[in-house]
Amino acid sequence: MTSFLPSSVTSDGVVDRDKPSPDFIEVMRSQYPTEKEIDWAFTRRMHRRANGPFKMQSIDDLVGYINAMLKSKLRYAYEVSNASWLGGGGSKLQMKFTLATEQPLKGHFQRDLVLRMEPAESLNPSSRLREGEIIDALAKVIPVPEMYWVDRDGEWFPEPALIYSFSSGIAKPTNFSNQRVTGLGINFGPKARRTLGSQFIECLAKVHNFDHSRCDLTSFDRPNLRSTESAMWQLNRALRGWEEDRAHDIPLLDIARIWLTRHLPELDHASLIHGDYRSGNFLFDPGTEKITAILDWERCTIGDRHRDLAWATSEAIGHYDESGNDLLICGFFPLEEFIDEYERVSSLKVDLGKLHFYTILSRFQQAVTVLGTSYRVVRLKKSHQDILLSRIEAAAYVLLEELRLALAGVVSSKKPILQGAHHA
Amino acid sequence: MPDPSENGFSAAIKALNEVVAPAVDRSNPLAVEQLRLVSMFLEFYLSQRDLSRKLDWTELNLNVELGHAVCACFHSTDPMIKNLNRMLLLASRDLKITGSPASKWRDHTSNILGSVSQLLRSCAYQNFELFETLSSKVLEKSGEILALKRSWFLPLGFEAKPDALPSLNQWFERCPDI
Repeated sequence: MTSFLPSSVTSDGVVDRDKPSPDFIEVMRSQYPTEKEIDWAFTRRMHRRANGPFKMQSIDDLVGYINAMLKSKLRYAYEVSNASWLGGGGSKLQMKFTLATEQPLKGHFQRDLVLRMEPAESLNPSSRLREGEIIDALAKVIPVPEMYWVDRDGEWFPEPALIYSFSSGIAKPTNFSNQRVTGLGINFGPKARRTLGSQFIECLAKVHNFDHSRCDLTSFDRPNLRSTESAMWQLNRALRGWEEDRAHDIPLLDIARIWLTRHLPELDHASLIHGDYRSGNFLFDPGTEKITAILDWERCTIGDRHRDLAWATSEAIGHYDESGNDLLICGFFPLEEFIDEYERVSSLKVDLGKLHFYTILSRFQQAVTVLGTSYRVVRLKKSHQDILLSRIEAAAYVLLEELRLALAGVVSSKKPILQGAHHA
Repeated sequence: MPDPSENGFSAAIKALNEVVAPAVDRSNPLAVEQLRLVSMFLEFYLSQRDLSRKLDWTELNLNVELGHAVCACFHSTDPMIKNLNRMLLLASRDLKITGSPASKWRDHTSNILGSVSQLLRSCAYQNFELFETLSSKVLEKSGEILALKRSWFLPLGFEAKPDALPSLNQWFERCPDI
């Protein structure tokens, strides 16, 4: 197990995660190697952790930063107006505004844009450059916002930020009252369920089949095929977050960690992975029932398609149908239908063994995010949504129960999990 | 004697919902959402504040059971479980003391979990067969502990099948007068 250097440890022998020493940060980096850009995001937050709470910015402050950035980037007249907060994000601070420009050749241009800025620490340490690159790459593939500017290092804004076009639409039906109060478990209603569900799977299939080899994805590392690198990066990212953020031990997570480490699957096909593909992370037009934008790409990576599939199958994200018998994945289809439909639309096979591995990994990632990172962010008052993050601790026990059940079938089993048959 | 905090909580919720909420700018979804969450948290703590000692006691009691189940996987003289045995002894003693501070119970829970985690990690590297036996025990015993926490947080709305969980009254039936 981890042996921390003395300067990371307080007088009572406990690692001081509130004020991590440089030694502790370096131990984490070397012990849990992951993609370069992710390492940068984790390291950056740890070096800044002792700097104090997040200071909430006013709308006027943010407009001032936007103006300063535009002044250096645009060579023609412009105006920023109609700035207002956007809700719905647990992780990033979001503000809508209108940009009007007078361009010498194109004339008058006006567009609603969104500023998406990190708080001092967020639920998910990630890179705005990475998010910007993937959204840009997928512009002609699926509905995504149009990218404008990325401030990776917080040069213009107090924290890293990006600006993209505003997408119209809603995340959950407003005319259907049977909703959980959390924003998870969205019930689209029996009518919209199939229409939106089909598009949800079509978009995922397009992302997973997208040829990213010629895209300029500078902030992504590309895992080697037929190696366990991709799964290891994902696992190490979660382990690093847990070690850097947790308040106490949870034996169940130690069992998961050891099982995952011993069962890393090989990558058969390198797909673009959304990373948090679920209901709540896309917008749709309630009139036409068309998906208008797939959002929240901050966990995106190049890796194994089973990760996106497994992530979406959590009971915390779905809900039961009207009969109460079938869990609808993301509020759309029962599991078997979800997998069948994905295989049909994508022509990519689902390996049930790998799906099980990534189910355990996903619940592990989700649980350590809400029990570890969320705890630390709230404790240190690092975000604009501390109260929301404090509340989602409650979801951890649903996720841990799913993790427990998924582990129960495999921990003492002698069966090699990765020889699971392809789903037919 | 009335509990003054009950009036305080109720008044705060009423003020938020009836006076503050209508005055909040509806075009500021962040403020609207956070106000709703504040009100919800106050209602949650108002409804469960008298039960929090019982939660801490029951959680520790279940973790002591987990600890004993783990110890049973070892020979009673095995030095690896010396630390856990000592923690279980202290925790069991404090569970029986009426008026013991709840923070003490929480500390015991945290210590037991830490000790079980340490044993799992050690066994994973030294004796994998024992690790598998321990894991099975921990997985089995963790189910009840997680169910307790899920019942506690039920009002916050993350359960897909809320009726499937025991009520808090059912959980606290075996809880003595503490």
